[in-house]
Amino acid sequence: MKPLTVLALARLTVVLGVILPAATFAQDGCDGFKWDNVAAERALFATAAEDVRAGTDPGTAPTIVPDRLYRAALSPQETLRYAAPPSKKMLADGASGGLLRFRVARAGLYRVALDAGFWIDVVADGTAIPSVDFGGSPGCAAPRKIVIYELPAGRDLLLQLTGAVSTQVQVALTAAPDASP
Amino acid sequence: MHRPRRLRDLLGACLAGALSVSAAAADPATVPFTDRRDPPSYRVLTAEERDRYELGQTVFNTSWVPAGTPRAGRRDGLGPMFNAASCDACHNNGARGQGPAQSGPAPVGLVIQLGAGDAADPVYGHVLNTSAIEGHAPEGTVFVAYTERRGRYPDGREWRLREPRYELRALRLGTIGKHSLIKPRLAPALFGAGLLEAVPDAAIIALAERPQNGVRGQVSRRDGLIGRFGWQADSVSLDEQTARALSREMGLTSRGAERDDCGGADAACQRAPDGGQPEVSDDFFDAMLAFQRWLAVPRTDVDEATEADGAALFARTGCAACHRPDLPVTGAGPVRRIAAYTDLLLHDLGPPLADRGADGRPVPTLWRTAPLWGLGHAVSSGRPLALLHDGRARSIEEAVLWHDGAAAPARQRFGRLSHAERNRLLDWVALR
Ligand code: HEC
Ligand code: HEC
Repeated sequence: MKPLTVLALARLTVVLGVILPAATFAQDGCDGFKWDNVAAERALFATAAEDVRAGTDPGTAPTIVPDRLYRAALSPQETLRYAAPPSKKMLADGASGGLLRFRVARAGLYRVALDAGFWIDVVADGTAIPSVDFGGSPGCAAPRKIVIYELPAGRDLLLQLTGAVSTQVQVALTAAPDASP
Repeated sequence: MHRPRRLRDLLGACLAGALSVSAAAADPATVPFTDRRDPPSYRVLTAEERDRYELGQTVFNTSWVPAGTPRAGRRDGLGPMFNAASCDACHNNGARGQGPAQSGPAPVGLVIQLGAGDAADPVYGHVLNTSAIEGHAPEGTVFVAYTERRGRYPDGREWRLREPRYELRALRLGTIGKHSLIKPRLAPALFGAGLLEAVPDAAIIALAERPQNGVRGQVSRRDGLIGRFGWQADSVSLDEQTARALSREMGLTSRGAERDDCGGADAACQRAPDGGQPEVSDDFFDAMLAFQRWLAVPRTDVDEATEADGAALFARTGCAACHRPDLPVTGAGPVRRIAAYTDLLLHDLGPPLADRGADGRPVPTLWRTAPLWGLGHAVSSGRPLALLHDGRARSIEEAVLWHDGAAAPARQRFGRLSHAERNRLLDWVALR
């Protein structure tokens, strides 16, 4: 009988070291992303944020552009009128939210980075675009969470913020690096 | 890869959907998930039931906030120690947690339980809490480091596995109790959980008494009840599992758990203010149970041309001795039998999968046969697969290759199949 025993093989095979040395892990809590390429977001979150007041409905949503960090002032969620209901049902007790408007010149994968773990939707023509992937690094606020979307070019898109604990949040939009997600 | 579903298309056209057209399509436990973000119930609910289901889903999705957060109303009381602020953060839309992509910090859905048997770790409690609310510090952080293992099938083809090693860092209260095991557990999918609860005790006991292919499983028993939830089936009901999750992983009290899972030595955790007594109201608790009880299993279209052959291969290889394709259920409306591919029994799969003590030595560990239903949903999610209790297996093939101990004969038979047969078996499992 040819033993296939994992243990036996484990003992015989050469161990190909894929163990990362402990030193490669940063100590600031921002090392927990599952992607290697969060450098663009990390750099943006180190810049001075531009202040905006997020809209309370699609009509009052200010326009933001990619590759810039924003600090958005939010409103109590019960006072908002979203373009589409948040795609996740959640209790909104005490939650803040708001709307931002943007466009992208080229279709493709984009990442929205947030400084806290609240919920977002990207809405096109009244429908929330499903996210492609998401990830976060608990203990990190620069950023805390990243959501990836496949976005169409040249269309008016709404970024809907929901369920935030804080009345002010930081947000940045970037084109996803090639290797992502 | 899968041939057109000609037979079904033809039959479907003839029968116009009035009659079910395949065994899988007829399975009332499964429902197509048209929107993954909004998992459906397995049966039609009354208006009152639907309200409860949706409230449960809403609470399940809600991120809880620390006690004392202004205007937080019904959703405060998180922590002070916790792992995630919502059930959904680990069981995203009811699905299994995301595993580690590579060596590095453990993702939120991979929890380190500590303790021996039912006993918690004397210092940290049942779960190492890797997050804390403001003014408190987490209990520690978790890193996982993978080592690659390579080997060959008898036909010479190569396989690769990654073996994890867990490192607990920045332990705030010092080393863990010396008798504690380090028990990594990935959040499982919750689909069909209510149907697993509806399998009569007698059916589980009967399976244990009737070994198949020489495989004898063990009933998980505690205080006269039969355990069926968790990777070791150590939780006896959804009620108990929900209360545990709230207290151990979220720092929330409920009618099932009046205290947070503070470590015995953690005075700051024990003194922290609460967000009500209990923090999760009975109303919310019951709604969350309703959501889990009625949650359907995602239906994956099977390949009619290969379905019977795959099932036969699965049985012939010895997989079905544990991953049982047919169990009875009671009190579940239209659902009388389920194809969950589990026996809800415990098996020792050998040292490679066993939990380890603080000294790194494996300790004999009994695992519940993992239900394979819903795997197709995970495979088609577009996210990397993370199988087995700690998400180490990146594919169904890797999961099978880790089977040892009581499942060693099945794994060996799998290894001796031809390359084409192995692929047929794996493709079939991927459509459950
Ligand atoms: C931090 C991550 C995390 C959070 C938050 C979490 N769970 Fe879990 N859940 C797990 C893990 C890990 C397991 C496996 C536990 C085990 O094997 O002992 C699990 C197991 C379960 C199971 C058992 C499923 C089965 O078939 O074995 C249920 C049911 C469940 N969780 C429900 C919930 C509910 C309801 C909530 C919110 C109140 C919740 N979980 C919150 C990680 C989490
Ligand atoms: C002796 C009982 C037994 C036999 C035989 C067996 N399994 Fe398993 N299987 C288990 C147990 C127990 C687990 C969970 C182990 C763990 O998580 O550490 C499992 C886990 C799995 C998983 C991962 C599921 C998940 O949700 O992560 C897959 C896939 C799987 N088995 C497929 C197979 C196939 C295919 C065969 C036949 C070649 C087989 N098993 C034979 C007991 C068995």
